[in-house]
Amino acid sequence: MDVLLAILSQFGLYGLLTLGVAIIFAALRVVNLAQGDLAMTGAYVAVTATTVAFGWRVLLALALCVLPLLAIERVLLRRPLADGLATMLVTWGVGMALRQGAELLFTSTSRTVAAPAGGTVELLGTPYPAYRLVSGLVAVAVIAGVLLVAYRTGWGLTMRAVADNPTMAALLGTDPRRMRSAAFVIGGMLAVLAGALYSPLLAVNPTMGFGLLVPMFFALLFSRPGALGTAVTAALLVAALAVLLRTWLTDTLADALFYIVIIGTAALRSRSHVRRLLSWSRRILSPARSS
Amino acid sequence: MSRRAAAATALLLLALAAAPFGLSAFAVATLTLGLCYALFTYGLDLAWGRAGLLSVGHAAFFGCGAYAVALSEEHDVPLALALVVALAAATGLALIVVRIGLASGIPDAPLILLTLGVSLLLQKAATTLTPLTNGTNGLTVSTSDVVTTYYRTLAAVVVVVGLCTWLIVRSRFGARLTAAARNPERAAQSGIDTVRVRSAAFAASGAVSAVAGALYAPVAGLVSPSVFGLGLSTSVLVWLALGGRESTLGALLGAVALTTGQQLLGTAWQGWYVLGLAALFVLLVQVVPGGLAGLVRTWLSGGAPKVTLPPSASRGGGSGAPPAFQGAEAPPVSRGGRPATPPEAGRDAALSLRGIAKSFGPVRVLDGVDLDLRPGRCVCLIGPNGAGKSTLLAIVAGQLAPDAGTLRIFGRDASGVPVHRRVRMGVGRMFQIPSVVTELSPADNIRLARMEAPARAELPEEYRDLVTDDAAAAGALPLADRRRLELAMVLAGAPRLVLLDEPAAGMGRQDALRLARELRQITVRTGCAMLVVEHDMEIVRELADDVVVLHGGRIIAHGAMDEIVADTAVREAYLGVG
Repeated sequence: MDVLLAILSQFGLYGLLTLGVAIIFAALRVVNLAQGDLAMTGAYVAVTATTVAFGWRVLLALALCVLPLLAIERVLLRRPLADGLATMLVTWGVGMALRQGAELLFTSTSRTVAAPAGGTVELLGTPYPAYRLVSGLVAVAVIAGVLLVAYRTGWGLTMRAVADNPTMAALLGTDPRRMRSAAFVIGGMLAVLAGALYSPLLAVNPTMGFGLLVPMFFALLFSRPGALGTAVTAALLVAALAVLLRTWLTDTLADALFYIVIIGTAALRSRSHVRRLLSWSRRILSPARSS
Repeated sequence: MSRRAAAATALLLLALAAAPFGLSAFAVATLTLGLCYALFTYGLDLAWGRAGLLSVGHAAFFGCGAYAVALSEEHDVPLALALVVALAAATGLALIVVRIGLASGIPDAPLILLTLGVSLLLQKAATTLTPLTNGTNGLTVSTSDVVTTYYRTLAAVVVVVGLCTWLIVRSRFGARLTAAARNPERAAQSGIDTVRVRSAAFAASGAVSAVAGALYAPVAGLVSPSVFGLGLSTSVLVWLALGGRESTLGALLGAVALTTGQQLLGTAWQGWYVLGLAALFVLLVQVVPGGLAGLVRTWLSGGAPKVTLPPSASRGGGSGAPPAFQGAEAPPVSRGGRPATPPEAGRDAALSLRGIAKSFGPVRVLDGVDLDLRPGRCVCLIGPNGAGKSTLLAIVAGQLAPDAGTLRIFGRDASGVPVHRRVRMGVGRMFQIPSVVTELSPADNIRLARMEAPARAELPEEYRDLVTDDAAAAGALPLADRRRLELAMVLAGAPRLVLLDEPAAGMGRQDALRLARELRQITVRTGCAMLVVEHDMEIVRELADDVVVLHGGRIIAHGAMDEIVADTAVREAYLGVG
């Protein structure tokens, strides 16, 4: 039970971040390398604005980030760059600037923020920190909400259309530029939300974004581009793997094994004979006409 | 240009050698540190610049070298052994990372992820394996006096950069790399094993970075987990972005200048300096992607292409080789040079397909295609849209693997043979959208095609002008000229089986007919076989010995043009009437 709750909590964090980066990737075809640093920014808002209640701080963080995100997209990512790599590097530079700005403002020592809901709750006989549960549930609710919007509303359909084929979508009367702005802002806001919501559970420091970037990227690597559902599923798998390894092993060993398992899986998936094996097994499972 | 570069290099070396005589100890120490970072930047350039493979965690390799020196001193391991282990580790890690990255079609995102992951992992290991590495406090390394360290560092940098320039940048390997990093499709179609070439460059980049780390350890006097840190990885990206990719001097000077700036500003302003660098980086990537070296190059070159192949590329591949082409009657010669086994059924064919099938998901694009193509013949492949023509061509060229069936090229089973090896078997291919290395001049493109050719082929008269055309980059050519260049590249590769995908698309009527006649002449003169996908019936009539009609993934008719026109099945496929 403990483990399941831990997975829920971790999935909330990774899921928000991965969903955000997947939305941005879908619409802009760019892996947002500043995603972890956006989460860091959100966490710092929650840490510093202590005069208002925690819930308001989270909303404040979300409200504050809209305009800067819009500006980043409009000013830095709008230029017709020669290749996707250059755009990716721009996001890397943005992340670097955010990190360095945070270091100048708050120094590099870690800070903590008190959880708004202290104490523990009893869940099927297991005591569990109340705020972990609350934050996990909120995150999962937000993820579910975003997925619902993406798959059940006209706006979501438009977004998926732009993700799949921007030229065609433009010909059908969507403005892909507006869609790109919206997707970047929403994806960035999900990261800020993740940072602010989970700030009581994390050590808040300028370089915390890196730690978040890696699991998020792994999840993105295993999802299909543009398919948000698969991104969330991949985030769940990554969260489960991370939590399980950590319950069995020491931190460093767990981290090392985590990387090795993921990189190994990626390597295996990329081997052509494994891919062939997979496609064979699919063909055996669904026997079609064979010549 | 090269003489000027040589003079500049000599002057720079002289200045560097004399530097300790005119500078304070602090300045010399700063310059030494700058040299270490310069070598690191040069190492990154081999990956990001030359091979076109971005790494955002290059400090992983740098740290391997630095920790090797520190650990050898701490635990009394011979330095040479530690260095060899570090070099092997850095090269091995780089190879694993780049192989996984290149296995996906677009290697950027996986590579970013993997390099990031590897450097974070190593940093974590260095932090937590306290008995071995002394944790976050790091290990001290004994230093010798400033001037000795300076000269040792300088000598090592010069040797490593010289070796890499000779082996990687200026060699034929460098020419292959230039093409593979820019247009992998065309490079593979010119007989270059793009994955191997790019992985080798990335591995070399890892090794050079490790050497830089090993030089850094005694200069800094302290090796802590931050040598694996992303701060350093990011800095090196900025240095290279400022100096300019694919420029040895640019990389070295960018690193030295920015490191010196950082050292001079002192600790109080460090934070702002780094923030400024971040802003500079965003600006550079957007406005001056070529960095300072790119600006200088544009200024010096005028309109000429900024990228050129190293001179070693023009030493042709098949000089002194046997005649370029076999006649139509001559038996194919196997790779060993001995005559191939006597012809059996279908063995004397340039291309022989049996039961080729291919599905994309539930869509069965090819459903058992049998086809034989004899040397000296030109077969045109026609059929309605979606008939599977381009898929068939891609399977013959090797871009796609068939689900079933056998494919023989000059009698040899070629089913599992990768694209670049098929090129060496004599396959040449033109794409539907012309694919040339747009950054290189037409002459360099031809040189590239000749480099890996199994034999030297003289181009037909009307293509000779391209061989000497060094004036502008091929990307500046209009579409029709780019198509002409691509055809010239294919012919320069001395092909015996030529695959063309709509060679006349987008051409005017007269040009298209002239092209058809030229192609016809080429088959007659060289005895090569040709498989052409074409929609325009007039061109088909001009070009084809045989016409093959593909419909619904099967061949429904095969014969001379007049027979095909009269065929009821074909009329039904095209017009829907019997």
